[in-house]
Amino acid sequence: MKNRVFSVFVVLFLSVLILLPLSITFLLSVVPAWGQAIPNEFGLIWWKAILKPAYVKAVFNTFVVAGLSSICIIVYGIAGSYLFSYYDFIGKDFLFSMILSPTYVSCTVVSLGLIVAYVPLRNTLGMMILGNFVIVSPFVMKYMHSSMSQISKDLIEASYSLGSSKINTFMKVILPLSRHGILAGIILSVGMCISALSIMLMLYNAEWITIPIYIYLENTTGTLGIAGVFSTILIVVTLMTVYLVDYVSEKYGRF
Amino acid sequence: MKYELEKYGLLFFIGIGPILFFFYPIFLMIKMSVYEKGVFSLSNYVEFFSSKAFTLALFNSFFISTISVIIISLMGLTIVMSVREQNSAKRVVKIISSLPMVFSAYIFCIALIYAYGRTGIITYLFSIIGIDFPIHKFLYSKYGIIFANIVFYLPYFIIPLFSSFEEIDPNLEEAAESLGSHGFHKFRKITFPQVLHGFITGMLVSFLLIFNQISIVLAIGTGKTYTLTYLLFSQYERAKIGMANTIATTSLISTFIIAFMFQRILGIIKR
Repeated sequence: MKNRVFSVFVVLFLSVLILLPLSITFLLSVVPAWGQAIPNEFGLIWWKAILKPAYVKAVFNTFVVAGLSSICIIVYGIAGSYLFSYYDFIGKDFLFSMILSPTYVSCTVVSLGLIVAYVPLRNTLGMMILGNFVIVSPFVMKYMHSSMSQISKDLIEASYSLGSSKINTFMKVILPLSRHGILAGIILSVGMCISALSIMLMLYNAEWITIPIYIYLENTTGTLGIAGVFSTILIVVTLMTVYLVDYVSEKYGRF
Repeated sequence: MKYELEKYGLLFFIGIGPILFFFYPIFLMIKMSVYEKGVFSLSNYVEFFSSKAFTLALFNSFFISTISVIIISLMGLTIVMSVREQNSAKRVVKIISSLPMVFSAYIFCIALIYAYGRTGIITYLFSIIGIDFPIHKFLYSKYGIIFANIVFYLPYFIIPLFSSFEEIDPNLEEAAESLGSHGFHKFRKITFPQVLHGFITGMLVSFLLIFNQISIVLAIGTGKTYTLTYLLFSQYERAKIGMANTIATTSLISTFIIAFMFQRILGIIKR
């Protein structure tokens, strides 16, 4: 009984600590001018404002940058997971540590390194994709590898002994069986690329301003309503992606 | 032969990524930090370590990360311990905890300001019942950054700790209880040693994430509290690339030392 009461208290405490700030983000988008603690006026002024071409472009840019980055990350992640799960070679653990190393380094350090090394790409769309790739791909590969490496080798051997080619085995056995890890990787990749601010701060191009960069710029210029709208869009898109991918995987069992 | 070709082709494709896009840029950055106009020079390092503002930023990074991680680990352990046997509460805590992981830290901080700031909702609600909720007094200082770190990075500690607790053999705890070990004694002698590895790993991950983050410092620090990452960004914005390279290299070395120390601790625990 004592434990139950304490666990209820813990849940309430965490809700106030974490859920409250998230709900405030939505409130920011429906309050025209937040001058006092409890807002007394609500409206859709900020939601209408984002229909301006500049803001629509930011949304478009975000999806283009996140989409292109995610394609590269997912292809690299699947290929890497396959290599680490089914091939043996000297220095395997070392290479895996090398791939994971950007995880432990500051995004600003990675950005500066890329700027210094690839001057012609400075502030281009390619550099933004590259930045996302370096930061996000280790996380994605870690997820995908842990899932792919759990597939029984006997199943793959059975597929080969029944005359199935390598590509066929990969498409029909390995990919479907590791779908949960791959799905988690896709969600993680899209989510991280859409909300990436730290890596984009030094790499962004004025032509390719994304939502997080807009939020940062709007906050520094004082228009928080727009930041609230964009944040709400980000939350909804992230939650929808999670739900949609989960739904498709449950319904069809494969993708 | 075909197998070998396929293997080495894949190996080249995967191996070239970190070399070209991570290690080569880092190598260039370190090299450029010790070269001034094409000549070997440690002038940037001399300037860094003789400047009060720069060394203060280094101190702030360590101070903020250390205090945040200590509080996060104590809070995280208490939370996980209290709900680990209550299935429904555990599920709710896991769902709530996973939310900040897909959320931008910068936006999270803006919301924190509206909740706990001078005119924030929480501050206002407490003032109605006559309590001056103290967070707003230090929200825009390094203590505010610590507060935001705790709220945002707590889930990064809780989720792996849950996994460690789930791996505990329940028979061991039952055996301890039947031998008369209860409460804190059981926790100290039986439970905690089994999750110690996960606990230290969680501390390492949280420390590195906090040490290397910039979004929270940007939102809460408001240009008054400098950490290494923020200093790097500000030097880059002022087009001082040489100093930015020096700060980045210092940050890298610090990260390496921290990771090495934690690895040593993990090694000792394993033995």
